[in-house]
Amino acid sequence: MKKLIIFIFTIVACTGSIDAQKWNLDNLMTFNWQIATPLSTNYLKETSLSGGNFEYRRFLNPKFSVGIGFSWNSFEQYIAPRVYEKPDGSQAIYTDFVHQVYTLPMYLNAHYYFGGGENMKPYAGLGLGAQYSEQSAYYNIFVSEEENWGFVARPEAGLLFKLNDYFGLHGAVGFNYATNKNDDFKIESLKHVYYNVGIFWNVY
Amino acid sequence: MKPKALLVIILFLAAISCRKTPDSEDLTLEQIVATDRDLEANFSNYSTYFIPDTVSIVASVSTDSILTGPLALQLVTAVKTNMNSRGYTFRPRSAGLPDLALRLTVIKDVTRTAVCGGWWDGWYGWYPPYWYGCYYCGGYYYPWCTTYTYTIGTSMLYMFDVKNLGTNLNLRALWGATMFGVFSTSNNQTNADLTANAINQAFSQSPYIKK
Repeated sequence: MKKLIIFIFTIVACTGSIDAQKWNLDNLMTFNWQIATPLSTNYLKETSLSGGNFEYRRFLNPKFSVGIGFSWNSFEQYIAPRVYEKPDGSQAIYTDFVHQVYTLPMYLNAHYYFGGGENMKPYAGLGLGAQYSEQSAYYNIFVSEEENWGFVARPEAGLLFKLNDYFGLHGAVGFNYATNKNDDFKIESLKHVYYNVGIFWNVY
Repeated sequence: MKPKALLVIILFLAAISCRKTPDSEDLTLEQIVATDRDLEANFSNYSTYFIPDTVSIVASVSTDSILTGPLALQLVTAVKTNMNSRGYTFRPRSAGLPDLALRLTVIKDVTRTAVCGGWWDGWYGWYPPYWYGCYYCGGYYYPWCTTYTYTIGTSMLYMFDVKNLGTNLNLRALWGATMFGVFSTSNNQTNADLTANAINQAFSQSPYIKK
């Protein structure tokens, strides 16, 4: 989280005089590879490279856009064999697991764009919506699985780098907080930091 | 439909189908071992035990209810080795009643099922008495149909209190181990090895069993 704040601060601090008219943005679509690191859960902790993100943004003026978006992430971690014991000592079970969490946040977004020069446009934004998620624990040939929905909030900061008038590169970092809860797996909420690397194109 | 809307829908459908298949190769496929004890039992109060040289077997394809021979002996030996190492002494049936009696039962269940359609609406095997689904039964994508054959093995090892046998001859179970997981459909030696390992694990996670 600290790194995220530093990143956002750096982007905002680096903004120069805006020259938004040169960008001539109207309808922007962005498609990204999404890397994500889960936070604050003992269920799994490994960074996932299996993810993606798509967003549509409509510019209301050169500095502000609203739109829709969705992401997907597939988290997975192998848990080595160990004994799980009931607190009173009456029962114990031994196995290994593959823990998996699949998330699919769908949200409305709003973004504010700072000045950044002729080819670069930094921005900060927020997405609010719903997140569908599946949590699975695989062991031997069995699986325990639960699916649920939650509210999702996604603050993010990013950068558009224009290659020509209708196409460019996109990068962003954000925080995905969702209220999906799973009592069996002791998951109170699903949180992850994500990193988007992708492309954008302007649709006239 | 507008091309932009169509693009969004296509991408959305692509996204929801992008769930990563679990890397099940990491799983050991050793038997899951669950143990249960009577918290009031004091295992140091017992000295001798007995376990028969045969194993009870329940199988969907079987000609007998008793497993004998080298495979049964391998499992019984695993139990005896663990009991002896914990300070208990084997008492043959001819020497009179032991303090503890152990019984091992193996259930080998062959199940087949056919699956059509995508993995999300496929068959999920519910394996009593648990709530586990069988993810190997996930299947391939539409329109193929396929048939799966898999074998589940469950072994139960229970320890009974003979020393304090009541007047009504009821036996009190002091400890039990349930060991389950996939079995080889064709190689019973593999299954015996899996079960022997599980027996060792059952004792390993029950250090309170000692004279």
